[in-house]
Amino acid sequence: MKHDTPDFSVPQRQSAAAIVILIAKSGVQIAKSLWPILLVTLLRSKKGSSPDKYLYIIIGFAALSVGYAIIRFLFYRYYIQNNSLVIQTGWLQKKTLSIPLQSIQAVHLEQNLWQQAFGVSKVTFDSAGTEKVEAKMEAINVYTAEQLKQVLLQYKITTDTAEGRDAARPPVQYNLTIVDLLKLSLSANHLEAFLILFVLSINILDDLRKAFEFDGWGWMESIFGDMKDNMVALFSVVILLVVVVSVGFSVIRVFIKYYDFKMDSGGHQWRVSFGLFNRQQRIIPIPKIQLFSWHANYVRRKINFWMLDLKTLGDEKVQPKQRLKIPLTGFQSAVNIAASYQQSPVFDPAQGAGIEPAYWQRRTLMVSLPVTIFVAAFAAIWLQWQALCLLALLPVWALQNFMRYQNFKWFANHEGVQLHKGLWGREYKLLVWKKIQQVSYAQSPYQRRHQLATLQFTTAAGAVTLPYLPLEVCRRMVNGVLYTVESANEKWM
Amino acid sequence: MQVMDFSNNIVEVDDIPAIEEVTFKPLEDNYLLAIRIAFGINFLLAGAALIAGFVFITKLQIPWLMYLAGGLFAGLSLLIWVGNNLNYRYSGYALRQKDVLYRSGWFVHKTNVLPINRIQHISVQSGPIERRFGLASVSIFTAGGSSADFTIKGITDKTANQVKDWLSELIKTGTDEA
Repeated sequence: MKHDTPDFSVPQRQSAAAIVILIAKSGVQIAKSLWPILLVTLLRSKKGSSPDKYLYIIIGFAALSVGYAIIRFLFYRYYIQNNSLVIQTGWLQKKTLSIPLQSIQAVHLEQNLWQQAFGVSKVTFDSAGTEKVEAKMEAINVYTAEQLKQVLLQYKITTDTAEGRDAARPPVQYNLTIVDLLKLSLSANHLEAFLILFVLSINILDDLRKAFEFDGWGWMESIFGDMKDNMVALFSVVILLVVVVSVGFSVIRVFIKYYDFKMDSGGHQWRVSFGLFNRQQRIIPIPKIQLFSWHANYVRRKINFWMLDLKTLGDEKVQPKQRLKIPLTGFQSAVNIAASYQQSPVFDPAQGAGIEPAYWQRRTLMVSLPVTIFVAAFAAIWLQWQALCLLALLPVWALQNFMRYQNFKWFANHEGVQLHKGLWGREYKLLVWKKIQQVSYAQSPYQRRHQLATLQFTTAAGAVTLPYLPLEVCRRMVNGVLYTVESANEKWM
Repeated sequence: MQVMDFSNNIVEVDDIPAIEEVTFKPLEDNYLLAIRIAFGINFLLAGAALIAGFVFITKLQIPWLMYLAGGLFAGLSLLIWVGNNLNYRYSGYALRQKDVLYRSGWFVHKTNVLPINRIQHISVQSGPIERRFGLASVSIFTAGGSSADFTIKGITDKTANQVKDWLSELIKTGTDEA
């Protein structure tokens, strides 16, 4: 079948099939919004009540879905104008979205069963930023979608070829031995492991009782009941059991997750592979790394074991548990890998700049003090005057705030900023200026009175905050950083 | 060896454009009226819902609870009213050749600066009340995150479209040519 090449400079509608897909989507959307009302109506209806009632509800619901879908279809238009993809949406709330073609990284065409049946395709864009808004097209004729893809990507190919790319970086290799895995397991968060096990055990005991009428709790009571006359022995056994089981569980978890961990760099990317049963392989393009940090809890800091956290574009959409954390067997490994992101050497915190002492004083006064008073007042309902003991929390929190203030050190140069912070553990964070998307500074009434400000540099995968800086320093930083970012015009990804 | 076209002039720190010297353009007068109307509508709706709750749910008809809810509602409404007014007075925007600035906040004053060479896309939107007063908002998006980096509210529809067109043009041609 011969197709005419569509003229994308003229506003285009989606395929008529989009109405059907939009009806289904609108139905789901309306059901999500109105489900409490529907549920209450259904539950409150008496047996034997007229079936017409349900029919009216269903008709009303369907009419709403169809109406909403038609409005969305009629008021959706897209076209290309002045090297931008323009999408107009909305009836009451009108919206015009303009995406410069140069920011579109990739165009994806997807077809589910419905879309295949109607010969249409869903079009989505990989543009750093477009996922935040409704920039997808639900149903475009397959041929038109292909043509649109060609037009959009042709622009990217042309500009990329003209600009060239960075030179390849020297290769680095890194892997974890069995001893490293043991170190990693022993320094893991055993409290978390214990809590997971505890919840699992309760569920298993409950399931056993239901399935086999096996009284797990009674069985445990019969074992520990014999020891109830000797409380020291009972406590020792319980604590030993908790420690052994939690540590054992941590070891198993770490081995399953990080077994045969390998990381190597090739050109512009890191290749990471790991896992015992579920083997994962991930590619991390170096230009995609926005923020570079590594941290260690108190125990890991003492045994020089650090976790590398590479914040890449799109990380904010991933659950924290699913983010890739790379175990490192020494501070120097982190420093070596960091060189691929920021060439300036990692700073010595003892030589770094600090923040104003108002940071810990205001935190104590405005956060710790009210929380302490609230906790003590609440506890006084049950404990009477003994609740006053909880006021001892205030000096503890004040000390923690002071330690955080003392450990907060930073250093900035022409390339970027480096941070060192932590209470018992430590975290190093590096940011290269060219990765910055936005600069902001804020002043509370107290900060305004004392000429202080909190400075924030936002990247595409998180932010770096420098709290309680003198206003003059903050302004100099803002002006200097903006000059660097705006005059160099370097690619940030 | 071929000598490339290269320059590396000294930059005097005092010559770098200073953020403290920027004059911010205030929001439109009509915008204050628009936010007051929006506040009024929300106030009436929330007040009606609160009254309906106490009238129709007999278990809630406890004098101290009614006074407490009424007091909290009045206090919160007053706070929002004062906050809206103060925020309107402080808010403003500025367009420079290479960045867009927006300041806002009534308690904590915040100034955001967004380099134009980082903008991904721009959108203009207006609600029914804004349209009644010929107003619109411009949202400016950079990479990452889950919402616009900032939205300049309370400018005329014409200005909003001018800002959008001007920024779109700069993104395409590069800020150097501005």
